[in-house]
Amino acid sequence: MTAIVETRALHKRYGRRPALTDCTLSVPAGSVVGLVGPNGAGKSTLLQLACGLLTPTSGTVEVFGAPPGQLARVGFVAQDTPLYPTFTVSDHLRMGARLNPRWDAALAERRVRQAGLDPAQKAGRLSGGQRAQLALALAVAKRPELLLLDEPVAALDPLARRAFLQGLMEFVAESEPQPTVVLSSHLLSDLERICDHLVVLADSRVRAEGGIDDLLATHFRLTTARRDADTLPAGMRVLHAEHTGRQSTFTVRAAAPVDDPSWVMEPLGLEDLVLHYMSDPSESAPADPRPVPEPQR
Amino acid sequence: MIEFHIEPRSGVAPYLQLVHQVRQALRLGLLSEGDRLPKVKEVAAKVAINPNTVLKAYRQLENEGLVSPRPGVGTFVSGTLGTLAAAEHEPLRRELARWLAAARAAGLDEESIEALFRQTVRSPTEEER
Amino acid sequence: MTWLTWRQHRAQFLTAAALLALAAAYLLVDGLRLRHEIHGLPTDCGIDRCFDLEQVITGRRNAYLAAGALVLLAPALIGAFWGAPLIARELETGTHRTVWNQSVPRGRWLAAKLLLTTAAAVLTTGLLSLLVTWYAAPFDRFDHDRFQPLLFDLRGLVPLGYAAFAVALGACTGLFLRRTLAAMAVTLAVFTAVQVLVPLAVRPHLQQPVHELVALGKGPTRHGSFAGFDTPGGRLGPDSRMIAVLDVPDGWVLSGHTPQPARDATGRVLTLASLPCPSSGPLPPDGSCVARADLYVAVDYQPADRYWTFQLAETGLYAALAAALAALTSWGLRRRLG
Repeated sequence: MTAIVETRALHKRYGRRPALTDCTLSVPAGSVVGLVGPNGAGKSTLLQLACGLLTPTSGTVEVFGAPPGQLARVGFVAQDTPLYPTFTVSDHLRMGARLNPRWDAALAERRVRQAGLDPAQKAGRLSGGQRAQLALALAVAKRPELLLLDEPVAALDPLARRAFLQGLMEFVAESEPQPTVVLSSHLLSDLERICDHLVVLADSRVRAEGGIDDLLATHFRLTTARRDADTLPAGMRVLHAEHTGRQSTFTVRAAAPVDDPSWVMEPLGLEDLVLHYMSDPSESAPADPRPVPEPQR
Repeated sequence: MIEFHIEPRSGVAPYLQLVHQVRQALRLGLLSEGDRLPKVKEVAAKVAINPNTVLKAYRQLENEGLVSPRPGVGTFVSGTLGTLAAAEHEPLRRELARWLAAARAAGLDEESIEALFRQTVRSPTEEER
Repeated sequence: MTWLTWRQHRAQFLTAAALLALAAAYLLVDGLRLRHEIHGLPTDCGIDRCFDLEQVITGRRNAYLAAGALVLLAPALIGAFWGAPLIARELETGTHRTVWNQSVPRGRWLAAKLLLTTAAAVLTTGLLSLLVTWYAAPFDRFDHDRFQPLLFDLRGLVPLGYAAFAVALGACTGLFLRRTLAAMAVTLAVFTAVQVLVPLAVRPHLQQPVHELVALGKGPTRHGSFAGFDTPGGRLGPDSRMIAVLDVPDGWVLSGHTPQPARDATGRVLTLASLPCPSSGPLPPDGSCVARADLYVAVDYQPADRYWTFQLAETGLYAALAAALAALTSWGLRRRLG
C-alpha cells in the first residue's frame, strides 16, 4: 500500500517547548487513522503539519509524496470548526464552490440537507453539531483524497456525534477511490468504530501505532497468583505489571491468548490499551512494526 | 435484512462483531441462503463504522464459505450454519445436561463451569498448533 | 476570492459607500450653490479688496473644515476598520484554518484580499478627495494656501496614497498582533505618527527648496509685509533688526512664517541704525519711509508650480510604503505560521 502521509524524524517546537518529537509515521492509502493522546500531546500539531498550516522544525513530512501544499487534494476540518459567523450556510457553500476547482456542489447540498441545516441560517447561530456538519460538508465537497479532522466531535452531544460520524463514514464509503482519513479524538469508542489504524501520542512522541484489529488481538490482561514477570512464557511481552500481596496483574502483548489453568487471560479493551500507552512513560518503545508475530487467522 | 450494531467496549474487534452477528443471524434463521447482505456503503453510513471494517468482515465470512460476493450486485448468503433447533442436536443436548448435573454435584458453580468449558473448547486448538 | 472578499467585508464597504454618498450629496449641492453665489465676483484679489467674496467664503468655513476633516480621517478610518481586521479577524476567530485549506494558496488569498481592499480604499478616498478638491477650489483660490502642510494632505492625489498605505499597515499590524482591536489601535497610532512625521521631516526634502532673496511687497505672486523691529532686551535701539513676514501665494515657505530679518538688495541685514529713514529716539521710524525702502527677505520655499510634482512624489512614497508593508505581510504570513 502506498503511503499518503509519511513523516520522518519529524520535530516541531514552539519556542523551546517540544510539540512533536521524532515522529516517524506512515499513513496507508484508504485507511482511517485515529490520533489519540492527552491534550498537548501533539495531535493538532501533527495534523497542521500534514496540511501545511505549520512547517516542521526539523525532519520531513510528505503528503502524496511531496511537501504539503496540494490544497485541492487535502480537506481539513480544524479544531472548533471555525466558520464565518456572519456567513449563512449557503454562503459557505458558495465560498467552497468559488475556491475549489473540484467542488462537488451536489454532494455539498445533499450533506447540508441530510444534516437538516437551513441554507439561510447564519453560521454564528448554528449549534456545535450543525457547525461540525457544515464544516464537514465544506471539507468533503472539495473531494479530497486526504481528509484531516482535528477533534471534530469533541464539543458535540452523543446524537450529533453519531450523526457526524455517519456522515463521515458515508463519505468515505461512497468516494472512489476511497479517501484516506486522519482524525484526532478523545473518544475511543468512536475511534474504535470508524478507524482501522490508531496512533497513540503522549508527551509529543508516538507511543504506539498499528491496525486496531491487530492491537486488540495482541493485547491482554493476565491475572494470576503472584509471580514475577520473567516467569511468564516467552512470546509474551510484559508491558506493565502490578502486584498486590497475592495477585499479579500483567498487561501483555502476545500473538494469541494462551490458556493456562493458573491464570485468566482476557483481551484488553481499546480504552485500557490506549490508556496504558498514554500513561506509562517507561513503555515509550513506539511501534516497532514487528515486536510480536502477527496473530494467526 | 440484517441490522448491524457495534459494541465498542466489548474488547472484540469491530469486524469480528459483524462476523458474529451474521453467524448469529444464520443460526437464528434470520438470514438464509440467497439473502443479500447490506451494501458496505449502507452499513458504513448507518452504523457509523469504517467501510474497511465491513469489507474485512465480509471477506472473513466469504473465507468461511458463508457468503459470496457478486460484483456489482452485492454480497449474498451462500452457506448455512446448523441451527440450534435442529433435531439431530437433541442427543448432544441431553448429554450436556447430564454432564452439567454431574458438574453441579461436584460442587462447581456457574462461573467455574463456564471457565472449564471455555478452557476445554480452546485446548484442542492449542494442541493442533 | 473576489466574491469572498466582498462577502466578508461588504458591511464595511456598504457603510463607507453610504457615508460617501451622503458627503457627496452635501458637497455637490453646497458646492454648486457656493459657485452660484460667487459667480461674477472678483476672485483674484488681496484680502482687503474682496469683501463680498470674503463674506461668502467665511460663511462656509465650517463646511469647508468639515470636508477637510473627512479627507483627513478617511484613510485613518479605512486603515483601522478595513485594514486591521483583514487578517487579524481571521486569526482571532480561527477562520484562517478554514480558508487556507480551500484550494487557493495563502499567497493568492492575501494578494486578492489586499488588492481588492486597497482598490476599494483608493476608490473611496479618491472620490472623496475629488469632491473635496472641487468643493474647496474657491477657498484655495482665495486663500492661496493649498501647499501648506495640513491642507496639502487633503487635496489631489495624496489621499489615495494614504489610503493604500493605511490598508497595508492595518493588514500587516493585524498579522503580527493577531488581535483586531489591538491592531486597530496600533494602526491608528502609527498612521497618525507617519502623517505628522512626513510633512515635518520628509516632504520638505522631496525636492531641493528654492533659496532666494525676495523683494518685499513687489511682484505679483509674492506677498510679504514689514512686521516691525526686533526689540532685544525689550527696548528699541539702533541694533534692532528690521523684521518682515513673507508669504508665497500657493507656495510653501519652509523658512517659517515667523518673522524673518529684512535685508537690503545685497542681503545685508538691516537694523534701525542702517535704515535710510530717520527715527527720533525710542520711537519707530515713519511708516511711509519704511514702505518706500527696498526690503528683501532671504527665504527657503517650494514654489507653487511644484505642487503637482509634490503630490505625485508623496503619493509614490506612500504607495512604495504600502508595497513594502504588503511584502512584509506576505513574508510574515509564510514565516510566522511556520
